[in-house]
Amino acid sequence: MGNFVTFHANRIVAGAPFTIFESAGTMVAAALLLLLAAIICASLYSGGGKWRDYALGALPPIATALLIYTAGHAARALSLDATPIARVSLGSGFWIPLLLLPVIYFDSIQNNEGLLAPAAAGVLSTVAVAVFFVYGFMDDLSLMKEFANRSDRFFSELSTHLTLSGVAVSLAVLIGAPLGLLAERRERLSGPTFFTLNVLQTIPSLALFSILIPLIAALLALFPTLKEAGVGAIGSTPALIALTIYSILPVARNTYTGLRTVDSAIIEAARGMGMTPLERLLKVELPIASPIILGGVRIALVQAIGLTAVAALIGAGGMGTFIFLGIGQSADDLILLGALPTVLVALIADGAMQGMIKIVKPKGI
Amino acid sequence: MISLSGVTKRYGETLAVKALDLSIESGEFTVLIGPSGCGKSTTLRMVNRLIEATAGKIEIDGEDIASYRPEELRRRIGYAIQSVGLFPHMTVEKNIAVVPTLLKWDEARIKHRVGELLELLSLDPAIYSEKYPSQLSGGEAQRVGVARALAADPAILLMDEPFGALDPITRESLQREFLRVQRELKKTILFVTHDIDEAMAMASKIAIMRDGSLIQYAAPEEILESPADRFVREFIGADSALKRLALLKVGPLFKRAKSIKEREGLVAAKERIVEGENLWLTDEKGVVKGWISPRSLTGAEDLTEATTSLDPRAAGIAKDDNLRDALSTMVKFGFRTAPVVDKGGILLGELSLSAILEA
Ligand SMILES: Nc1ncnc2c1ncn2[C@@H]1O[C@H](COP(=O)(O)OP(=O)(O)OP(=O)(O)O)[C@@H](O)[C@H]1O
Ligand SMILES: [Mg+2]
Repeated sequence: MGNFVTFHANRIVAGAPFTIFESAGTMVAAALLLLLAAIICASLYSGGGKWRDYALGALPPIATALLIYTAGHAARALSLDATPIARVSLGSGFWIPLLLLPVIYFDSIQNNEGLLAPAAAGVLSTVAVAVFFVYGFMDDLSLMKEFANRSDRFFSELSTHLTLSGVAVSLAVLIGAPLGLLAERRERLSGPTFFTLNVLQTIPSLALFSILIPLIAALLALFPTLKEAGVGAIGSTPALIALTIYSILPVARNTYTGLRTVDSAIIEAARGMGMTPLERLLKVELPIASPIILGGVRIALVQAIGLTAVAALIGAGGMGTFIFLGIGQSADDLILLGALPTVLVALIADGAMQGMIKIVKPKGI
Repeated sequence: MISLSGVTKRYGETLAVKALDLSIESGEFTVLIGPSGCGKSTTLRMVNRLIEATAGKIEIDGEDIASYRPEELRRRIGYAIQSVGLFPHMTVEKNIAVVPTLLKWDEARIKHRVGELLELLSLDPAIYSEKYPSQLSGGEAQRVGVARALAADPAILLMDEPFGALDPITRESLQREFLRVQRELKKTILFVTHDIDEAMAMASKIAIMRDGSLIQYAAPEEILESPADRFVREFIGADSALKRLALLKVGPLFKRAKSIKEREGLVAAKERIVEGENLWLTDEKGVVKGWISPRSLTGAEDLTEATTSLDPRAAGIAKDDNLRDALSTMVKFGFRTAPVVDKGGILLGELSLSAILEA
């Protein structure tokens, strides 16, 4: 934890690294290090049975909360006798444990039986971290200062980001699911369909955005009424189109695969019972394929949330705004202000979709 | 009644079914049999229009099936296949309810019907209704498949090797059970198999096919007695005589037997016995205990000494056993004459080897 936090005299200059002991004080630093040491020992030790499971399930969230608190504490301590324009940003000594702890936690959840202790620890720690942020424990970190300067903008861009990804994926479901169905019903079409979608998927996002701008501009020149309806050559229209294009493939592919996995005997039985093609689709094929189709929506959603960050480049807004602003100003913490919530939102969307798939999945499959 | 006239199915160059004429009476259990690829499944599936015939006409009770919507036709015809095809996301109850639901029966009627069918196929509704197909054994799944085919009480049942994937013991018990169901329900059944023993055991009429054509269409006994050609003779196998015995029952062939009770004693036995015949020893209720031959009687001090004892449950033959099973029992115990007994072991008569040979 050589570089736990970095102290900058102002927002732009290079900073000086501080260890966790130097910045957070002996007591807090020692507590955190002991906890981390316990987790590392438990994960390396193969015996221990139930106690080891408890340690790996419950300790990582607690350690994560403590780690975040320690960072806020360190920032406060370093800021006490500095000028108001001084900044404290987070270093590798913070980031590495922050990335490793969730890995250990989720691995333990997946491999161990008892879920009560890990879930309780997870919820408690999340609440604690929320309290740290809301009650200002973290305010002296540079990241939070960037947030404080733009809090209104932050929430409006977050909502733009969520809307763009959400609408794009919804459109992709409306287009991709019928496309997957069509490819499954008319096997001859599946080759060309997926070839096209795969090619579209390989176009770099920046390139796709820039191809779309002149295309839409040309379209607007042809149909001026579109312009009056609020369609623009830059901004959300090309962004939405590009994001939708990228999201179609996972939805269409999984719809196709999901429908294909339905056993031919089941199809034959459904036909033999006298189901119409529509009844067969709605009562038999879609329910059986639903977990796989929703899996495609999940992939599309996580991917769209990430890609939406790029859409800021063509003026569509979203969390990418902060990232590109930060790159322009060489302000790392502004970049983080855009990137961290994007990652967090993607993780939450992923978890929510996984939960939903578990709930929607028909019993018996 | 189902009647096929000049029914043909062509796939490109190959003729899967060639101008087939076949007429199945109502209540008849017709088995379609023949070597693999001879067109059995194709024929069956043309009846419910899962496959459309290239030429020819199929009528059900005098009405051309082409005049119905295919779905409407299929809802009136039960269909069961070897791979069962239960819907994995539905409980046993919901699976059986599929066709009644399509036909918009009310819920109470469906529920009642499902319970009735589960009982009919010896599946306890309390145990099986809420199970999912993945929780069933192969035999149980096929019972549910048959129940599902019977759900809307169709007059016609099409079955494509329904018991083909089961182990021999399960298959035989399902065959027996299905025969019992059929005796009760009297459906018109078209049943595909390539197991000649299954055909002999189940069919009231057998249709033998080869290369898309019908070779012989007759009752099992007739096919065994006078096979149409060499192909049929080879198809039914070298043990056709034994297969025939399997179709005949003990009932009409056994005759009255002489018996003696234990307390009647040696003297009475000597008076009653006839040269060349046995005397059956019974208890007061008439349950067979053993047999006495003229030779064992000479020089014996009492009845017990003259008797070779037997267990009527193992060595006795029932009235509705078939002759092949009876013969097997007789060979096993070395009898020229076997006792015919009821369920309680009470002597009803005797069956002689010569009676079987003359059958
Ligand atoms: N969809 C199809 N396309 C082309 N040929 C087919 C098709 N379906 C069946 N056939 C051919 O038609 C013939 C009859 O097939 P069918 O399935 O009726 O045989 P089967 O008597 O049921 O055989 P098995 O006992 O193996 O099930 C076979 O030669 C088969 O190759
Ligand atoms: Mg077949």
